[in-house]
Amino acid sequence: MPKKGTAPIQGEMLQGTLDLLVLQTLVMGPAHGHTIAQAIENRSENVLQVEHGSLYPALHRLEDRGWIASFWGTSENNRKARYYRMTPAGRKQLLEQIGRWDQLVRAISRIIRPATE
Amino acid sequence: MGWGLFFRRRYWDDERAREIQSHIEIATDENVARGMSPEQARCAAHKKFGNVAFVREEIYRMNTIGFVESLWQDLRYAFRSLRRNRGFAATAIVTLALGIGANTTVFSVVDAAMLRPLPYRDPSRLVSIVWVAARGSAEQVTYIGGQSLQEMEDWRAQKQIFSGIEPYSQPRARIGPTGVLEPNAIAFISTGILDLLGVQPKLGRGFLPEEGRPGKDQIALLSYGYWLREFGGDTAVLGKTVTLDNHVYTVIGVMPRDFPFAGKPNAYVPWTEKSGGDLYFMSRIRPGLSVAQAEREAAVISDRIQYDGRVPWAKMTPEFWPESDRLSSRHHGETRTALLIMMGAVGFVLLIACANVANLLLSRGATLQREVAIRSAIGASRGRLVRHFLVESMVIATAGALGALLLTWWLTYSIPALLPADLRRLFAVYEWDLNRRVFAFTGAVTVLTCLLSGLIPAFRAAHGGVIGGLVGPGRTAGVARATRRLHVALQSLQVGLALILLCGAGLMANSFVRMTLTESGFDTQNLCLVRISLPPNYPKGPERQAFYDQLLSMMKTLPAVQSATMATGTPATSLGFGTGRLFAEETAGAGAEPWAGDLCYAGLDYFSTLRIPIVAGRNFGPQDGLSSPPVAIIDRRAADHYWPGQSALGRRFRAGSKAPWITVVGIAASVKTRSFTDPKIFQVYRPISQRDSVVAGNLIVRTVGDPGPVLAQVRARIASLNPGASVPTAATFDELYATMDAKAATTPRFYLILMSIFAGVALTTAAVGIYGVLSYSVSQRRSEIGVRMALGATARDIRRLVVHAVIAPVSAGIVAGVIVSLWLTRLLRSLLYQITPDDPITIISVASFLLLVSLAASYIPSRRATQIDPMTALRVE
Repeated sequence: MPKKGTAPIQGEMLQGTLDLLVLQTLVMGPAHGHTIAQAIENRSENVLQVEHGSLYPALHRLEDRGWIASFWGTSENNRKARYYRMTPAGRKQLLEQIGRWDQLVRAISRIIRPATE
Repeated sequence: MGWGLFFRRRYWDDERAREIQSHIEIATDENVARGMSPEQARCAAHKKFGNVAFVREEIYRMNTIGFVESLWQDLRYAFRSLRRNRGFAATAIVTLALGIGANTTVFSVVDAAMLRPLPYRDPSRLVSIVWVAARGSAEQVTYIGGQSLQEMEDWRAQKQIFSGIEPYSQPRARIGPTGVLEPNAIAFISTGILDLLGVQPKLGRGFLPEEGRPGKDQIALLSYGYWLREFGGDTAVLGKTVTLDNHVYTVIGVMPRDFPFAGKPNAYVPWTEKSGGDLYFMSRIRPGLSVAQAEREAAVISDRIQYDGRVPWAKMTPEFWPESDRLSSRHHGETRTALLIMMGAVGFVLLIACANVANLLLSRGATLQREVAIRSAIGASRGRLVRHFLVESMVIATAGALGALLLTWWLTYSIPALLPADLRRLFAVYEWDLNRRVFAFTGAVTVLTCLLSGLIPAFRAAHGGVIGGLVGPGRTAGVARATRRLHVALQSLQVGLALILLCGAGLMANSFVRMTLTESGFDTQNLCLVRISLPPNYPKGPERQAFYDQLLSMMKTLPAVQSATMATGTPATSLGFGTGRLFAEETAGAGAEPWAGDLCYAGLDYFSTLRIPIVAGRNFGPQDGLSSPPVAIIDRRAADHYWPGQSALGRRFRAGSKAPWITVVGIAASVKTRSFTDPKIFQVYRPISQRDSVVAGNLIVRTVGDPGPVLAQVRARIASLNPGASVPTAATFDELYATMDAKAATTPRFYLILMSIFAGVALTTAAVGIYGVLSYSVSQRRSEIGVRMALGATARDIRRLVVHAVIAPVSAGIVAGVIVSLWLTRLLRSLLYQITPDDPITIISVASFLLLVSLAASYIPSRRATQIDPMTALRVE
């Protein structure tokens, strides 16, 4: 079960957007699971606390769909680690998901703050 | 998730475990770098990661397909538990292999005979022409083959109906040293017949038109099977010589594998007018005309066709029987019935096998009560348990089906070689093989078998309550009452089904014996038949009759000839008899059912030459002419049927409401004719002198000594009278009868053998079933029996106790079986000879035999029961 972070975000919401976050992280280049998890936390300024374990089913799913590919490499501190890189299909998927995400955010914003729009 | 991941789910599990391991190590490293102690660092990394096992499980679940996964589990479990219970598994698998195998084999025969398309071009337009006395009665169909060249020429002229007619013939089948029919080595086919059929040789060339003339016809097209057997499929066979039926032929080609024409001889050679044998012709209906239209057109012009076997008392119409409905009811009614009966019989065998396996599974389910209880206690649903047991049944059924296919394969490719030649002939015509339809059928039967044998035991086994199962079986009353009732019901079912099959086999055996014991009814010693065929251009009518009269008087002058006569038909051949239903004058409205008569126009010396006794009345005489009232001699069976208890002499009968009345002047003893398997066909003789149109071409001669040299003289005389006349048949009646008996008995014998095999399998299976259930119940009732013995029961009491458990289901089964078989064996009627399907002796002997076998099967378990030591049995408690 996802643990609540310092600034708790609903677990299910995170779940739905985890694919998007992972893909976005991999735009910078190949990374292994630990790096990806930390990148998400750091870039959200620790608002999004990822339970590292929950990352792996997502990675597995993305890989199965062919959006990311993996290979064994060596980490910065000389440990064997599985690296993920984005595939062309993943890149397309990312653009699509970003588009959908923006749509969603705009829609929700319109509902909760109709006046300021 | 896809199948790709499913099959590699173990690999991915390892992969992800390693990855997670490295993740945690990297995190630990970082924590250490931040200044934590290694212990703390590892702990924090794990905390941050969450539950490793949970993540792995989730990924594993993503990779798997729930249903398949648990099915796979059930499968592995089933294999393991069957390996542990080898005896149980082997019994069940062998039983089902026999049951399914019998079904697959019979189905493949049915497939070959009825379902497979013929390998000819547009086979629905290829017809045989059959003359029928009148429509609407199954008994009146006559004449297939044995037609004349004249008839063929007449039909050929009908270009508005046919696009082609081609003749073929087969030499008279020979009898081998063991008294059975040899398969035909050759068939004569006209040079144009392959074009008519639309078939090309697989190798070499077909016949050229000029090769259909005597002198150029020493060439042969080999059948595929013969080519494989004798030449190993060597393509260099062309131009080689081959000896068939004492003639040497040059091989010019090989026919395709699937070419069943003319009963699959070894080779086809060109047909010429001198070929001899029974003449047949194959006709192709002109394009644009349906078979029904063609039949109507043919009926209109049928008077113009010169047809030898015309029955003057009834209107004969030609019917066209398409090749493509090979086993349509009017064409091959008996074969079709027989095949369907065989299909039903093997269905019963399978049902018995299923009942047996269901019994085994029920017993086994009861011993697994504790396991079932534990599994349901830890959360297995009932459906899951049922599925588990069904999967086990499916494994058994599938293994049985594989065994069945091996069995069928063996039967298909090995058995025909082991059979006597006449049966092989029958097999060769069918030439079944294992094709897609057979495999699909086997698959369907397997699923059915699994459900039939497994469904009830699976529900029973999964039913046991948790508490009852855990407390332990055998503690109180042994087997649950519901289970015991099922056992009894299944046993009754087995016995009943076995009884039906045994009745069928018993009736067929009985009828077969009667058939072979029937006497000819006249003196066949030194009696010969000579069939004469005049050239097609010979004038018809009186000229022909004059030829025969001349020949007959010439015969009588030969010193070696004791007596001679002419007739349209003779016993022991399929030729020259017409069949029609007869109505007696007194019973024209009601009374005796009109039977069918085999009509023969006989010469004056017919009865004296054949030595058929005339038991009442007079022989034909010179007073019976065309202008005198029509007279007939009928056989005793007809007299007894139409005029029971009174004299038939002077009575009258006719063939239809408009036909002239015919007076009975004599009653002859019955003889064995080609239709002797049908009790409702009797003999009617009319004098040749009262026949106006067509003539009798059968010369019957009784010789003084050995017929061999006399026949040579007869042939010479015929040639001297007319060099163009041919003699298709010159044989003694002993030979003819042997052929007819062998022919008539071949099919019944084939079905008798099959039926006996099925009945044997059924009996064995049922006996094994009774034995198995009883042994099991004795082992379950050990403590009860121990208590009884401790209380003073003698060995006899115990034995009675056990045997009583058999008597009830067996008697119930026998009673039900007799009732059902009385109803079902009616279907066998057409396969039986001189025995009715409700023959009490057969039924009683079969029932007592079955009872005996059941008691024998209960002997060992009952003995074992008496040997139980009460002390040991009770101590187990």
